[in-house]
Amino acid sequence: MHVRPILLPEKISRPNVHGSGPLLSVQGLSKHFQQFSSGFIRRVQGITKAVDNISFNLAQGEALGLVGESGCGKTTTARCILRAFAPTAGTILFQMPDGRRVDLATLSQRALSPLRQHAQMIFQDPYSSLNPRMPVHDIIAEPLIIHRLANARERDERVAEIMARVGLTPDHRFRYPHAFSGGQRQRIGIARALIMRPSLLVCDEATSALDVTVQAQILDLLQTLQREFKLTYLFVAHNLDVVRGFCHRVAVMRQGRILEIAPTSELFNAPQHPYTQLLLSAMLSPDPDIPMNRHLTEQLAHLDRLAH
Amino acid sequence: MPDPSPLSPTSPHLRGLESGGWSPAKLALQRFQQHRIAFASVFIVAVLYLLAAGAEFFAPYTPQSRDINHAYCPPQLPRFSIQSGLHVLTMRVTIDPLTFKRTYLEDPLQPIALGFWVPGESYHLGGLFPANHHFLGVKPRPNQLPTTALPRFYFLGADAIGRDIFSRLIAGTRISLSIGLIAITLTLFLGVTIGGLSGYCGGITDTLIQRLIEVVNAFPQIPLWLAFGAALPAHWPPLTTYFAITLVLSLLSWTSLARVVRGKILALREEDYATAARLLGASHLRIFCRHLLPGVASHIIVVTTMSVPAMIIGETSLSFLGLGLRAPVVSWGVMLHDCLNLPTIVNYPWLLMPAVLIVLTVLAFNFLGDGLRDAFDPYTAK
Amino acid sequence: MNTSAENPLLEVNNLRVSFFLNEGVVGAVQNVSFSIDRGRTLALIGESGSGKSVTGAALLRLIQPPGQILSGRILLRSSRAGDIEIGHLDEKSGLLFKVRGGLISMIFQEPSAALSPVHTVGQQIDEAILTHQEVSTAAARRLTLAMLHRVGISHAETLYDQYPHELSGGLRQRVVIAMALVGRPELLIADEPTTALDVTLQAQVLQLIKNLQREIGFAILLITHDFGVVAQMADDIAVMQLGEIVERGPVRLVLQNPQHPYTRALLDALPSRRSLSSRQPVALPNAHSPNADDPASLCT
Repeated sequence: MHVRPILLPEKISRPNVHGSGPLLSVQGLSKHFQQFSSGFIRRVQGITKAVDNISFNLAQGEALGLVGESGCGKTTTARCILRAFAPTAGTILFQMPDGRRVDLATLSQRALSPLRQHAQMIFQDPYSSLNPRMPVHDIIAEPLIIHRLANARERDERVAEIMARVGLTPDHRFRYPHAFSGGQRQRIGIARALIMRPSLLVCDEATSALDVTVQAQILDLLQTLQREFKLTYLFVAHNLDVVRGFCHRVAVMRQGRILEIAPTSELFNAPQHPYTQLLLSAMLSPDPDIPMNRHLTEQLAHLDRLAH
Repeated sequence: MPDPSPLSPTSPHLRGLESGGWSPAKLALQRFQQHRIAFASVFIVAVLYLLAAGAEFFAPYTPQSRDINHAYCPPQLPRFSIQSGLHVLTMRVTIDPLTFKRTYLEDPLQPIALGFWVPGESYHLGGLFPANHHFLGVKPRPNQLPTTALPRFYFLGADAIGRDIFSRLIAGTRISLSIGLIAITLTLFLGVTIGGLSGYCGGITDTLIQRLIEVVNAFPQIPLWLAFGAALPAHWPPLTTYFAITLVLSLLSWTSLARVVRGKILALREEDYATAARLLGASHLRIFCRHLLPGVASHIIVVTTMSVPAMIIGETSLSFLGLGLRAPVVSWGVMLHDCLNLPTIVNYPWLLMPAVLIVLTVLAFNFLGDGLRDAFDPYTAK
Repeated sequence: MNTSAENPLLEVNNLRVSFFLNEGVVGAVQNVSFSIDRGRTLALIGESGSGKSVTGAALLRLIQPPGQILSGRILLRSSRAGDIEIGHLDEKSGLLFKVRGGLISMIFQEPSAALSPVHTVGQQIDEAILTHQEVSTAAARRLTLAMLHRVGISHAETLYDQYPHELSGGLRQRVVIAMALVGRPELLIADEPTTALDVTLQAQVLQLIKNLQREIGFAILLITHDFGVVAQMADDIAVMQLGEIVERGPVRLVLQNPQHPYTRALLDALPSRRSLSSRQPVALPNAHSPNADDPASLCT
């Protein structure tokens, strides 16, 4: 793929001043999956490079959008950063609240556990991201239980408080997830992620499965919470319109690589990479007078030819 | 964008209903109550276990009580009349002088009155509490001397030495039903632990355990049972034999439960809420017990309920062949052991009554399991 | 919208569908009426629970218990088979069989759900042909290959013998479209046909459907939640909320001048309408001068 990375950050060599440098600094991150042959004795047939040597920075208080089509590696990147699995290569430098920086990529699971308080994730599917057999109170309080951050009474208070902050009725906390709508369930997921006051929140297609009115409410909520809780977002999405209104900067991914990373207005008004231009042209406008791109197939084929 | 059908519990139309506060378990219970046959099966099973618990009380006679004069007595069906109340008719025995065959005829002029809560043969309830009264028995006549022997009655007939089939059936209920329960507990433990480990860990552990399951399954089950049964020393006391049998039954039947558990855990492991728990920093044990196991619980309950009949039949088969429990222990299988020759059954078919009860029990458990499965998983119900 | 004098192809009057559940009765579709003219596209737009999918399914009598069509007239004025009152057809009637797949076709959101995993692509499209047309198997194969070419699959001969799981999502959706159109239906019901697809694939598939509509001349009932799809594909639009149509009209009119508050709320919530001014990147607290190392610092 013709990669002309725009503004690729070099190694960060800033002095470690508290509150200055980027919250997250990803360098050369790669995640390869091995393909096994079928049969009783499975041999390695090939490697899928889900994430291929990407680098970017995430400034404190920023919302960075990670966009691309399915299979581009954006979800894998997000889960890699949170160490849902270990990356194949690269460093993930995370700035802790006390100022020191740790490389998430190489930490053991045990060392990782206390760090989980500082970085959390919200998921795409509001119907499968909550355990259907646990009452909402238990779901939201679980992080406090795991990390032993509060006793029973304090937990109850904090759960009620965070529920109110995300727009839920604290009285409903003993109900089960099936009693709530999709948007409310996303709020529950947000409450669960925020109860430990993390500094980084990864949104893995957090609004893609919601109705458009609910999506707008959740995006508003996320923006409000960003100010109140001083959060930094890594916003994975495939809907460019959503990203446009929500993110400060956008990174476009394809086949595991970041093709372009730029401030939002620049990316949308003057996209540099031909793939970005293609993506933007493929978007359907709700204005009937703006026709859709009729030559998409040829343009895609042309792009693929350039790559090889 | 999901457009949940009106059928899904997450449909916006249904959300305002009061069922919102109910746990999934309570919703399942409510659905279960609407499955009438399954609900009836609960009662049948409950009655059976009640009989098993108070077997000595409910049976008119102790299992060993006999009367050789009434060998192979046919069933005396209870009747009700105004004069005599609940009664059965006495059987007149005539012995053919040439063939020595016994013929029984009911004598309508000699009713034997029956009553509830009557004194009878003494026994120890549960082996512990001495007692005298039986649920159902011959009512002593008002001016009868206590030393006079009371006439015997046989609801379901008598066996070769005049023992009451009905009483022995009830006594056998205790053994046959409890073996099912105890064996199931062991199976449950083995199946959930091994299957859960296999599903959760994946990789080499999973492969090894699955191969082990295949090896265990490859053994032909009945010959293996027979071999184990035959290997049990004959001089062991009945109780030890009893536990050995349950051990044998469960050691060979945990594999199906393990497979079910493994499959479900494999699927649930990939759910977003399990990933979320991992990202929250939950330990493996916590994820397994708090998040994954409750999701498998419904399957476990159903598979376990459906396995109890297999255990019961297993014990019955072993005892029937003479390789499991033996006399003087009474179980349905031991009673059927007496039916091993054809002329006996042709002439005295009431000896097969235990089979009827086995069928009833197995059907009841199967319907119960069906009902539970439909209650837990409404989408495949209709 | 029955704006023209000619008879519309499909007329739906007072359609009511309810689901009878243990928990209560759900009125999924309540008193819905609309009509579609020949060769035109009507979009049925709404959020979850609006009843749009149930409406589409009801047109082909696909509602299963505990759902039930309570009342309503569904009149199809077919040029091939005359006027058919779909609502009153018997479940097992031959005419209903002829309608489904022959006169009215349906494509769904998830193409894998519509394709049998144990039959090849060719077998499935052949079956669609042979069910409704009296042709030989050889002729059916020729028609299949022709249709596959028409939906933009160049390697139709190889694809004919492949199984659905060997194809990508986009190809599968094209196969499903081929299967739906091979019988030359007069009406195509498309229930969220591109929701599961990437944006580039979505544009291609919609373009394909539009082209085929021009060539073959069928009408489309487009069920969707996406206003972008509606703007590009539909001539008329009907907005549904909780089982009722709250606003309808030509697409330009409704999108540019919505009357009903729900329509307005939907349009206002569109991310493209809301992102009129994109957020500026965050300024780093200690950035004195632009530093080529860090892109964020370049935009203050």
